[in-house]
Amino acid sequence: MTDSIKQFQGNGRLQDEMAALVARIAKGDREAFATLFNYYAPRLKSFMLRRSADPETAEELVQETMLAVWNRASSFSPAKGSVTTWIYTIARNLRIDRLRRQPAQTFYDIDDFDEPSAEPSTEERLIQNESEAQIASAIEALPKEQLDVISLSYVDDLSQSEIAERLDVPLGTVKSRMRLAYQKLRDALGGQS
Amino acid sequence: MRVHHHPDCATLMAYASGTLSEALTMVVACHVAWCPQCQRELRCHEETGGAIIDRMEAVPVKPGCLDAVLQRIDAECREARARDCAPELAGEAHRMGLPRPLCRLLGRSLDQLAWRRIAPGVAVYRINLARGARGRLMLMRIASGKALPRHGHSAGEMTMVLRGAYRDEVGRFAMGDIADLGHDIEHKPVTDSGADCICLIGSERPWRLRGLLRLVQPILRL
Ligand SMILES: [Zn+2]
Repeated sequence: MTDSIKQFQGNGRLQDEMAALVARIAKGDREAFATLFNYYAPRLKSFMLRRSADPETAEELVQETMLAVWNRASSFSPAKGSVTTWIYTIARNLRIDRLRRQPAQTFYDIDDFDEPSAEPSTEERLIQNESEAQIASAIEALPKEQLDVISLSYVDDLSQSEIAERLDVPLGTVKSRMRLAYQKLRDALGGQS
Repeated sequence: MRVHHHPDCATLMAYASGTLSEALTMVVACHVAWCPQCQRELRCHEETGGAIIDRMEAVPVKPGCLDAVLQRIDAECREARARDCAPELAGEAHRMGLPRPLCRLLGRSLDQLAWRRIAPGVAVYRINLARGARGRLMLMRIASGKALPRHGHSAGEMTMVLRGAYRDEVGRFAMGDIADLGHDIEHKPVTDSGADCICLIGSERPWRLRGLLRLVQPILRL
């Protein structure tokens, strides 16, 4: 399974596979859950570790995230975004709540907006997959200094002023690199607004 | 609702990456709840986060990790699974005229709060965030036809209009609008509707009461 997942990566079908797994998980399928777990848990651990969690906490947060994935699988809708993005938002929120030591639930989850949640048509799915592949390649294509700012923010969890300090550049420079990077990523998504 | 003023895109990105302080996160979350445009923008920023998860190098989890999760799944009662209070909260927030995140935090409408009058026509309500949360959050209610004295803002402050409207050098800010001004702008807001203007104000730093007092002092003298 891992091999077939690798194979799908980059051509947009990975997320289709993942969405199918989540649909099965919603029906209580543990085999599907194990497959999803085997793909995401190691990446989530890496993500948590980079975000300065100790190995023990990282492992706990991986468990919590995957537990939330199980519990909320039925509310996942492919129309609203990819499985990876859904899991990313769950992981981000859990980590923040952990930092606060209290479930404050400030964040919206990706499935928590007042939006139509109809099942996407095949065409919409194709567009969605397309855009995921495009955003992935757009990230790869970013100039190094923009990619650095993006990963320091998303992966290393630094605020804009911390990034400025780390890179020894003014705060305004960090902001404008972020804006430039975002512009490119957004263009990759077809400039939808 | 027609929203005209949105957060800076770097602010939305910081929100999506989870690096904005809790207070500012709250202000942005409230705006996003009312602004379909920013919902789409935010989705795009979160796709970036998702793509980054996919790029992460895999670090093996402990051998028993999956089993531990499966055990917790067994242990939790079934009804916890379908727990989804979102629609109910949506209705409640709508009735109270509040964005959902704020409704969740306050639990009651703006009219039921214990407002503290700090000057004629100006009242504040401080919102307690979770212990360990960064930043300060406050509501400010300014009576109709009232002008605040000219003042600047420190970096990391944001204001969102929940009710009524005000006008300043930048423009008119009404329900749903967010002022993500930065620190180099001075302004002199004047309420600009027949009703009180109620704003949600987030600040990255501990609240500077002295600054706040200075802000209302000229009003006290009026
Ligand atoms: Zn907006």
